[in-house]
Amino acid sequence: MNIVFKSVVLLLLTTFLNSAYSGPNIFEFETEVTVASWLFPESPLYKGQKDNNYSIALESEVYTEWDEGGSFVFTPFILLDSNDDNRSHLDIREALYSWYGDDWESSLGIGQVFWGVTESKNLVDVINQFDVVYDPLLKTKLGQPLTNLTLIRDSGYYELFILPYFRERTSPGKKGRLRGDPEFSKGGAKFEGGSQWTPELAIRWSNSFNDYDLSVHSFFGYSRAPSIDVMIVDAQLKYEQNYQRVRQIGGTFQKTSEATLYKMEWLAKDGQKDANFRRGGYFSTVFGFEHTLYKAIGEAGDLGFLMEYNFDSRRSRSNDSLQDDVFMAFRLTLNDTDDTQMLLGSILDLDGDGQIHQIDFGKRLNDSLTFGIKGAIYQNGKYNSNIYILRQDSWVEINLKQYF
Amino acid sequence: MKNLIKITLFFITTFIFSISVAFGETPEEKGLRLAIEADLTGDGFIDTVSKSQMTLRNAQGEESIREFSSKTLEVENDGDKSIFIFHHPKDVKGTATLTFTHKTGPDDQWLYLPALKRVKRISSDNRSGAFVGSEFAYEDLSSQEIEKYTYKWIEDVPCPGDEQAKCYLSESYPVEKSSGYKRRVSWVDIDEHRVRKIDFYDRKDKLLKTLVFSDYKQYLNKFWTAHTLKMVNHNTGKETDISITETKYQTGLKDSDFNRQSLKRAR
Repeated sequence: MNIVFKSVVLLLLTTFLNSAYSGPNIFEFETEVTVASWLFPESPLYKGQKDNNYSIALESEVYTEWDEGGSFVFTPFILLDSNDDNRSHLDIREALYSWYGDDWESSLGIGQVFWGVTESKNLVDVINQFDVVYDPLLKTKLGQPLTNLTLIRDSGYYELFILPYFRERTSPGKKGRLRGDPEFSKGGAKFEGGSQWTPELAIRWSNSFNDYDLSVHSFFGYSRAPSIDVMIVDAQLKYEQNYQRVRQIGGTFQKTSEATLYKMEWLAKDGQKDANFRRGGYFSTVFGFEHTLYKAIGEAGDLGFLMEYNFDSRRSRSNDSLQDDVFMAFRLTLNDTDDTQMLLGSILDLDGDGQIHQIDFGKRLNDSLTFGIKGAIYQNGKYNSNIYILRQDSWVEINLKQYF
Repeated sequence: MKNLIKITLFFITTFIFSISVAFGETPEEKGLRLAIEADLTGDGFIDTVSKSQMTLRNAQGEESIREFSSKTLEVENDGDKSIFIFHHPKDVKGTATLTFTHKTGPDDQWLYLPALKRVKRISSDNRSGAFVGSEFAYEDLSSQEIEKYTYKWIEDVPCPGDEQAKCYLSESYPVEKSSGYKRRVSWVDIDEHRVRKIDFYDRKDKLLKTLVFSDYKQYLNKFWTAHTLKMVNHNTGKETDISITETKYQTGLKDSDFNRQSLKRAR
């Protein structure tokens, strides 16, 4: 982390030197503060766990841009949690220097990259690690040190990424909910090859053809999802996160057809250990559609219906809960002055391993304040499955976000 | 090329017109001719950049403000390319859309969500939907292509609110089934082809909204731009005003300023 810190300082210094030289023509500074409360209706299962918790998160963004085709963005993030020390953390979401011309772009620093098209899960998003403790619905990512070159040609967008450092997944501590028992020990993760400083490589092509958007990528590096090693240390059961080096190819497809979007993501991966801690190859995919009925609610409200199927060829040996599951959801977009939006969804396991029901609601209270409700219900998980482990941890988050 | 086609079209229509004057031009032919003439006055703008403020007002008079900027590039032989960027309120700051308008068939549209860094291909089928909760529908603000409507001239009348000037009253009928309108009735001044007022009729042919254009300024001795747009919804009593605070023509934008990569950089 020390080296990451030094790189950031170096980047900041370069930026200010650069700005002193040419003078940025845009300089912006913004801050958002989120106050949130997590409520758990059921009492905790494991020793040390607390009931409800409260948190405050602060994210600032500094952005500068030069006429010659360059920009720098710096986005530090800090979360303080009332119970869980592991949940309280600092992250640099972005510290990215970018240069660009007519048909290319290059960047260096810490960045965020989104490649997915589907809604229940984004298999292909491999550049960043998820910030699970902040956002169990897996929409928020940790900043990833990277260098990137993108070439824009008639035949498509060609992207190359070199990732010098691997970020391990955040996980709850002893006092935190949404974990197994015992919790993962802090600093106990193991990385194949020994060091998080083992470079990773990703290449990607993407393009649009009329109604079709396509992409293909290849990745060589650490699996973003850990495999869990079960050990007995001093007659005590221990779980340890292990990250293996993997090779994968994957892609996305979307057809936009009037009010219906057809979407697919797929992945073929080799090198990761499964739930039985055996190494092997597997194939995994998410596909489905989203259909919107415009102006179906009130004066201008849209009602969307989403359905996606998640498949993983490892089935019960998969370390992903969504391996033979159907995702169904309603999306309400009221198109009102408050931008009221809600996603109500359910994940139904076809092998009988339980259901997850999710809610994500948001609206604006005034020009600089928003209100949100998020939550998940975990029920009917098979003995020892991920959903079973979370059976007492159904949660609801209520948050207020103030923009400065 | 685009101009050439339009000019040819213009001459052909003029030619047909000269013949039909002898035999009498139908209201539909006159409507189309006027629409083409009006469209030609906007040709050759190459590109524009503008900043706008939108005021949404409900029936009780409560207001909320939106700020956005847009960039548009004229494309030969097809509809324009444009980028919309939101600045205010702060929770939508940085949200942007990229649209490739097509003369025929659906437009291509992508949405950029800055919090997720996600570029999402979206359906352009929602043309009748409310733009950011305002009284403007997406189709009211998108690039107006001749081919998207059929036309009919009604009569020549004094311009609304400006009795000295002479306007032609004409109707246009959307070709796309997804449009929220059966017809639009427009008052356009004969001298400069500036739209002064539009009445929007819903699918049941009931008067839904009225849009009034004012504060016209001319740029580069050619292009007239209205700086104030007032939309009133007769059903709900809600109003939306757009005030264009800044407009620039021919700023040197390139095709490369309108792709998915530049959408992510749009500020």
